[in-house]
Amino acid sequence: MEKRIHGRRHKIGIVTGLLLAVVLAILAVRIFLPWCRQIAALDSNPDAMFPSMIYMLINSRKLWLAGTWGTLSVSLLGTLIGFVLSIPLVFLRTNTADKRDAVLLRGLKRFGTGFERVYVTLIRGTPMMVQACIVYYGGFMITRAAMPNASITEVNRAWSFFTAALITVSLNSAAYLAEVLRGGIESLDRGQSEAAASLGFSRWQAMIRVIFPQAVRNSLPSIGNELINNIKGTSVLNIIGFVELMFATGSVAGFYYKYLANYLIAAAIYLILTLGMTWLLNLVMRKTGILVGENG
Amino acid sequence: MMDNLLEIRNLTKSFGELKVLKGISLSVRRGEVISIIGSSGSGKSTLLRCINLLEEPDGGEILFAGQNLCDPGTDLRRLRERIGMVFQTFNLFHHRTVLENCMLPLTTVRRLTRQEAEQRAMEELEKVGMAEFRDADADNISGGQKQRVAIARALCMDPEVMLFDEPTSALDPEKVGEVLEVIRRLAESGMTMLIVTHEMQFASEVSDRVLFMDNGVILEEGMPDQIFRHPEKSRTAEFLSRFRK
Repeated sequence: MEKRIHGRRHKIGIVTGLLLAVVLAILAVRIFLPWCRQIAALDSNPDAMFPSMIYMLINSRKLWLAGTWGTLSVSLLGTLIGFVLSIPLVFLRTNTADKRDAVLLRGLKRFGTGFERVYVTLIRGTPMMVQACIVYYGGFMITRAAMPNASITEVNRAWSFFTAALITVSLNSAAYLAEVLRGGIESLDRGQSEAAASLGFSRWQAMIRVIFPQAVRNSLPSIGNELINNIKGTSVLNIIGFVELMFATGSVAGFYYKYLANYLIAAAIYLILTLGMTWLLNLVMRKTGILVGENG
Repeated sequence: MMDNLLEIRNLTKSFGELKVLKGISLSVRRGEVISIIGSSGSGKSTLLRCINLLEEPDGGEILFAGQNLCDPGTDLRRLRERIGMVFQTFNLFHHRTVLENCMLPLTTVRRLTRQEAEQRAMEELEKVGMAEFRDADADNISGGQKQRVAIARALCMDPEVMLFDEPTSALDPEKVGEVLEVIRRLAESGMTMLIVTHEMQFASEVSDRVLFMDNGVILEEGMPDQIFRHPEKSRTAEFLSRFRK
């Protein structure tokens, strides 16, 4: 009985939702879009805030698209590469030396653990903006030294803003994700690695086959969080001239001499990107059964 | 001497200031079933965990099939394959099925093909009565079933000795019987076993020898009948009296 009532309510909910969506769609197509087109076709930038935003958004769409693409590609790719790099990093950290290791191996392991600590401390202790500058100018210097006869244009082509931006985000994410994964590993009960050891697994085998899959699974929400943070965090990359959303915003704002309106547009696009990504991540995690939420 | 599978000499282990094992010596013959009883904190589990080096002993020797486990040059992984262990908390691999739990050591450590591993795993699951649960998530079965899978997983590696660390202590009273039954059958098959347990009735039925540990030493050892009916030490009698109703 209760179930039937619940089912009926659910149906009513879906029907009202659909109706609302149809009404909104009709309004958008019949009224909003023609209005936007009208605004965009004006001779000059209108004074009112909202029409002005629409005007600049449409007439500078190429820049906005390039900026959004830059933000998305660097944050997605950077997080992915950072994740791959974080795996050996966290192994260096957690694979501590023990009494049975040979002297040389013990030394190597100590060095590895120390390296990871220093790396994570350096990355987490400095702003990504500074890291981006160091990567860009450092890379530029090295490239120029490697191509002594090349012109500056050629050096710039070889060492692109995109490369520098991607390396920055990857190195930065690797440090944060290594810490996330370490947390995921330390939250597992010791029984998992003890069981693996008792069955004859090597440390590396236990890590790859037993510990890691569980740690990654447990830290997926935090890994998703890092991606969201990167979407917002890559806004500092305009300092090295990489075309992402903030760079695009600055360009459009400078062109029209309109600042507030353009930063509001940027905020709206960032919000759409982060909300969309959050929604997508939750969907994926729920579908794969990793996240068992209240609705899952 | 030759048929001693395991030879422990003057084993010591401390956790910081706390001396947990104060010189344990023990010989285990091939095919022998030994129960280790004693109150919590007496060092039973630590002794068991030292035998496959989950705890590194501070001093003494552990000879397994003639090889000294404490030797830094010993290939621990090879030896651990030959020493099966069953934990109080089962320690099945999370987010994997019953079958995958048994196959993973075979494909990873033994490098069997998936097909070979599956066949071998099913043999052992059959023996513990868990074959029909092969595709169940190991996190979603009862404690008794988990422990039976854990036993099957250890047996898949064809160990020469099995170590049971309080295998029924984390179980519902109702589920204890099914696990003890599996262990009993294993004992009858001639497997060498060391069992840390609080199931006195079971220990007296299944063991060739019973060790009573107290405060880091083996205080008394003997045939089950002798320990359970005619203990020599008053401490043993005092401990056992708590299990009689």
